[in-house]
Amino acid sequence: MKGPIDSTPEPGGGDNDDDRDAMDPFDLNLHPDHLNRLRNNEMLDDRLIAHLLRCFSVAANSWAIVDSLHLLQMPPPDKLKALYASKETLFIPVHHQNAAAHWSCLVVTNPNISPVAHHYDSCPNPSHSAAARDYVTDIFDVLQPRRLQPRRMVIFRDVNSARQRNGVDCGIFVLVNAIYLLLGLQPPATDVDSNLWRRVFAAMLCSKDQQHMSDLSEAIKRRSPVAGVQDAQQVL
Amino acid sequence: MSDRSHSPTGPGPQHPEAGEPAPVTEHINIKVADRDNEVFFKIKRSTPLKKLMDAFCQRQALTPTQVRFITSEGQKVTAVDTPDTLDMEDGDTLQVHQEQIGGSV
Repeated sequence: MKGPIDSTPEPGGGDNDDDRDAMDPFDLNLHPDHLNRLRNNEMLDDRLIAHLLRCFSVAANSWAIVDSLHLLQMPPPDKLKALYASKETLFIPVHHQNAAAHWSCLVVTNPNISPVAHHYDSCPNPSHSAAARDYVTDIFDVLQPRRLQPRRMVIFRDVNSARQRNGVDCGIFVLVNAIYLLLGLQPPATDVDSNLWRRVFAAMLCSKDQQHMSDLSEAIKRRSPVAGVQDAQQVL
Repeated sequence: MSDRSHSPTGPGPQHPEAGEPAPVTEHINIKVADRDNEVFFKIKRSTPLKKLMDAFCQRQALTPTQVRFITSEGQKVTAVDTPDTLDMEDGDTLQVHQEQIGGSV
């Protein structure tokens, strides 16, 4: 047995404000390691992906970004319904925890009427598809219990999407898909310059100005996708 | 494996007069559990949970950036959250998960 933990604050005052800076490892904000992950061609983690998805979707009120950690711990039904039941589209980053950990993503349209889940995977694999299907089924088992709504089955479709060329970029592809889908565009099926996108996302991390997201949106809409990204990088 | 901890004993409990409502307790017991371990903490309701998370990581030799603490309501715990701000109740559990990281191939 280990000894007791005394967490009583020091007498005479609360915690030092310095303890609460943005670099705190428990803060939902980011820390320098996340920027390095983008710059050094490393894998992305749930915190970085969640942060950037929040940036992308700040003006998309009809969308809900589903927390990837729900895969590990599903919230209680009432909480899940409060978060997502009123939304028109759900974007779900899906983490595949296996020998080669991986990110793919799901977009669920018409979640309240006749949900259709589109699965975008930069490294297609039957096990990824099966896991994504199980996950979205679990969510809708809570949002729309089949015993109450027997006709509301989730239609699941694997989408032919752009493929990564290395073992580190799946998170980048999830973010790129999210940007296009949030803009109402079809995500690119080929030619995703992941290095360029890494620089764009790094620039977004370095800026707290939400205007950059709208600048990025305009740049992508104005030109062809790849040229749009280069424009966006100039803006950022 | 379960690892129970106790806070230092303070002044004895004060029993309310008959008919009076019980006073709101200042401290709260929280269980922190990962896949293999359970640790029990007793902290003030106003104490930032950062202290608890730091202590858990230190005890279990975990890197703070590589774990996520989640309430039973599915809410991620931040450094500045307290039991009060998260509306936690005595005996609530914080579940600890490994970070999700992926690249594939």
